[in-house]
Amino acid sequence: MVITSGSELEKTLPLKLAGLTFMPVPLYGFLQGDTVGLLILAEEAETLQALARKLQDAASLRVAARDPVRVVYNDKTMDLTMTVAQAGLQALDRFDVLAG
Amino acid sequence: MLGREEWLPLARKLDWDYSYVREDEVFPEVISGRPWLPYSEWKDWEESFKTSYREYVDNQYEKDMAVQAVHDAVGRIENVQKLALPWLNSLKVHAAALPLAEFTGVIGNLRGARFGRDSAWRTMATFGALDEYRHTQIPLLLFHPLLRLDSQFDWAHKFYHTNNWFAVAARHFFDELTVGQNAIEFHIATNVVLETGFTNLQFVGLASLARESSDHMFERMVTSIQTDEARHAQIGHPVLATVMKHDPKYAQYLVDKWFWRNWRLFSILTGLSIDYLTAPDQRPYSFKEFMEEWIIDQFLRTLDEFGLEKPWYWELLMDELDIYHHMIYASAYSYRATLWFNFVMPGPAERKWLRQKYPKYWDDMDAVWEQISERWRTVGPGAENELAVHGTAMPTFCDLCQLPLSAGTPRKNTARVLVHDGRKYIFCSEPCQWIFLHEPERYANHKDVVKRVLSGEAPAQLPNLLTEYFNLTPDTWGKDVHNGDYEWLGARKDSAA
Repeated sequence: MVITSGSELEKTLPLKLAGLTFMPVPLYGFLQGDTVGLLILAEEAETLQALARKLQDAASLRVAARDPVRVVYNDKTMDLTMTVAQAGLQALDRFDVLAG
Repeated sequence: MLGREEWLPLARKLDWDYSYVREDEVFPEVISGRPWLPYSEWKDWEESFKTSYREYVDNQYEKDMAVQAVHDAVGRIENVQKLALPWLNSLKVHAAALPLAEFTGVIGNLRGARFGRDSAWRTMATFGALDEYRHTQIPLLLFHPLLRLDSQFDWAHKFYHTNNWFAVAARHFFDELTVGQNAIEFHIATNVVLETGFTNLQFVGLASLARESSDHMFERMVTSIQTDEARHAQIGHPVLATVMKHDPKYAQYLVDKWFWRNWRLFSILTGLSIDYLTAPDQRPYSFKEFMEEWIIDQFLRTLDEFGLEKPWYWELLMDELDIYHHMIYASAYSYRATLWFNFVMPGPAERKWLRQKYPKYWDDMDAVWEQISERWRTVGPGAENELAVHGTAMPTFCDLCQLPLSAGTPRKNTARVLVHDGRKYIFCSEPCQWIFLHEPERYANHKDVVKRVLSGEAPAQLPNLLTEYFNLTPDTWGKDVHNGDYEWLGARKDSAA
């Protein structure tokens, strides 16, 4: 078994909350086709399109990226050009990314 | 001197009327359980299998000798090294999950031995505590030599004392079931639901799996434990019958709650062991077939026996038989470094078998495995590539069962957010939320791993979380058993091009 050093690990598993330059909004993201919900750190100013891409990237080991996609929040399909703040997403809310 | 037949009926009922204290002071509701009833309502409590202490010791001695003989004959490291790799990893799961969980059963039984409402109940619970102590010692004895074989077996012995996410879930379950439980709820939840409903039969199934896998040591261990469980599980039946007579709604609630909580944990322990960690040609049945034949039928008979209804979530549970443990396994495989055992990736033959056994949702699961396979094809096999085929974002957990938010199907995850007393909670499923809302004061202050990360109690970076909080190391954390080196994967993409 190869021993992987901590620094190598950091490169490979880049989950970082500490040292972020923005105040993240932690959200529960559920990508259609995936087997587990993921913690996604959103920026208030990012669009829902970018948020969807972030979740797709995070789940890419298990689910192939699709385009177009829909973002569903509180049972409503949201406008992808809205920002996280405009959509009203708050810490520990659930959002879903579905095939468009 | 009295003979056994005269002595036992006299000795097993030694209750008396209190003159210096009130009965509710000797047996306070908070620790004896509810409904609180005067002794007159418990005096007919009777176990169906009666034993004296001498008989108990004689029987246990014989059983211990039988376990020791098998251990001496086939429990050496060289015997274990001959076992198939996936099964060896199933042993690591059980080496972690069994001993200290059984030890919590000692505490629960001792509560019954003091606060059970009838003397025969208290005597049986004393035997139950001795049983559970034995069930702690046997796996410790049998698994101890394996520490030298593999550092993951060593870690398995530390599991219960870590903050590993699965240890958090196991403690959340067993602490409520046994350590912090009143006598009535303990005996209904543990004896009727866990033991009669799950482990008594599960151990029969595990013994059969072990036999198919040529693991005679494990087979003997679980068989020996099962014979104890079959005896002490009967304690709960007359307890449930009395609660059913006086408060049937509460009896139904306890059975519904604990069947769900047991299902969550045991679908992972047993589901993964049967459908993934046993070699395909050694699987006598699928996990779903095992559940339907052994667990579900037996549980329905138990419900009938007591005049109880099926739990309200029954249809949901039947549906989960087809998918839940598959969702968990794929998620756990992709976060295997967060666990202490190694995983096998199902290849075409295994996936064909799984499709036959689980046709309802397998298309969606197959797509997940194809995507993971594609990643291995891209990066190529090898230990150095393990972490390139691993999740990077933080997985999320249920605020009740503490297990990953992996319920529902890949098309529709059933997680649900709830705001309670100004705080946000998330649950994997409706039954977990329902349990929380029945006793929020019991669960509300517990933090799952994500909340610990967000509050700064646990490291935010996944490498630190693994090493500092889960206490894993590159040696001990889970990997693919073949490091992605599967013939069926074919050549690495760039080398094939």
